[in-house]
Amino acid sequence: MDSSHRRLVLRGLCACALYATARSALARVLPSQLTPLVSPGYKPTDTDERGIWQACDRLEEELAASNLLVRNDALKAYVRAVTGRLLGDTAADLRLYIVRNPEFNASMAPNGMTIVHTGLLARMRNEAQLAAVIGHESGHYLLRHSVRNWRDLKRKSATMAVLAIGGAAATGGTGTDWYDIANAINTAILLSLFSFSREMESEADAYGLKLMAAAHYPPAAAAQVWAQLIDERKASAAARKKQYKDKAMSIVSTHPPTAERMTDLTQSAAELERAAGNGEHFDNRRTEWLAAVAPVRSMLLDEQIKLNDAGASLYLLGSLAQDGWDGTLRYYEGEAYRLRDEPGDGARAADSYSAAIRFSDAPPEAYRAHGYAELKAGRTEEGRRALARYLELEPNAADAAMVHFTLGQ
Amino acid sequence: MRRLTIVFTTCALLAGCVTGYELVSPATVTVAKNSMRVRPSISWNKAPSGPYDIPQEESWTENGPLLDRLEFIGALPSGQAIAKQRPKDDRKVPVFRADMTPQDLVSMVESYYRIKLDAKIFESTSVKPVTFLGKPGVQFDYNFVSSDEVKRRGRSVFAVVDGKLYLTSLDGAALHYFEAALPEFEAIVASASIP
Repeated sequence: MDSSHRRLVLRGLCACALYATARSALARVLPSQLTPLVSPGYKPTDTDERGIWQACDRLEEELAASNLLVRNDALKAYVRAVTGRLLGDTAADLRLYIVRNPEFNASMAPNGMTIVHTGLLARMRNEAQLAAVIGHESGHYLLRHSVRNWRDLKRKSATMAVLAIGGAAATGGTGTDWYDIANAINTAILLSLFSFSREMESEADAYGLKLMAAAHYPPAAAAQVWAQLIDERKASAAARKKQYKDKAMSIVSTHPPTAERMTDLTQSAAELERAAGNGEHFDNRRTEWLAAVAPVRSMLLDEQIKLNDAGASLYLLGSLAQDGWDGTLRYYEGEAYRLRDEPGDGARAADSYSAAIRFSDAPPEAYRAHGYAELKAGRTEEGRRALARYLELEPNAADAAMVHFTLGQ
Repeated sequence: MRRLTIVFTTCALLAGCVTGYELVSPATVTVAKNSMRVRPSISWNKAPSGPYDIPQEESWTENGPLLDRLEFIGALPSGQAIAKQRPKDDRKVPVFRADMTPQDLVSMVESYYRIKLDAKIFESTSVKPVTFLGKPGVQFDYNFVSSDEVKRRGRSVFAVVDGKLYLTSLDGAALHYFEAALPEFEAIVASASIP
């Protein structure tokens, strides 16, 4: 189902989703006020909650067989370890699924099904930031927010199902209608589970901070995650000469927080850091994070840059480059310019590729890209040298035949 | 409430049954606004235009677009994209330019799959020079998984002729359907000419 169809269906659903409309200010939820409503080994007892677990179990069955799962054991072990640091024994009730999806998102369903998108991993600058997101989702889990939602929405579920089916069929026309309908029902379930009110989002924020501080992650990382996401969306909009609109991209990308939530996050984090005292040592574990994500860094960047959201791509690369440029980042910077293809971008891309190959970690594709860029600029000798180097590094490249042909011209 | 549900559901499902497909007989035919002439050896179904289809595009299917799709794009001028998109779209398929390198053309096709066909996983398996429409062209093989989670394979064959893009591609389910359609696709590509 192409993504624009999905957005049309979801806008129809979102219209009746649980977003509190009253604009009165909420009192800040204090992390210290919160206690978990589930303990390790928790199983649902009442019919509402058993129903919600059954719905989640059905979704999890599909997910467990998905062709979009990342099966990298080392990466999963790393993310599980972060979850373990935050949740202790409760982490044993969770099952982690890392899904190939370039949107920034993570979720933790009431039955323990935990989903992390590769789009989230692409954007984190350190382990504390990842912990902030997992901590926030854990807050929803520990405070049983989905069950609260489910009860509120039970009487609306029939209407929602009809709207979902109607919406899906109305946007069909390319032969994907049947899948749209099944998908829309799943989406309706997901929406009912994960449409949290402002109050619930604030509670999850506060709980996340509490978990972070207890695990010695700097609570300030939470607000940083959101600030980065907002800046990225602003960069994306600016590149298209649009106004930045504070809204979710789709159901599977997270709604950026309001200014109010940002203030609360910042204040609560500051309080927690002061209360920790001089003996406390917060560690964002950036080194551990960079080591864990290094093997998949290319894959994560590839799926972002190739969407050609130029403002977002360049923002992301610049953000990651604050830890230092390397061959991979310069190569993808070149790719971002090459795909953006605005006046002068050919030269910008060429500069980025030239910079990339000066690093020892330059991926072989950087030599190919540099080669083609030099040929395009009329620097034939350097171009041919670079393409030959590419073939030396990757003799069995998918496009080896094409590059040989180009060299033979 | 229950009757209303039944009425809604029935109407919605019936609305989805209007097809707009036309039969293409196994004989020489011009496609994509008469920009190319091809000779299919089996019957195909010409699909109604999709939401991203450009005027220079034509789409066929044998078993339905979820299982197999054959696309033609012909005489696309420099500066236009292979999909309909708005200037302010967040994600944009790079426009075709007559001076594109083979890698630029490959990237353009890949971006199309990631942006318009929601490919979450996309892997290039082969890029090699071929002759298409009697001119030097590129054959690009790939596999991908979209959000419907079906594993698919694809082959795009394209060439730039007089500064315009001509492209023929087949994609389909990796389980059986792509391979079943491939020999016919290869025959169609071999038969292709500019009228």
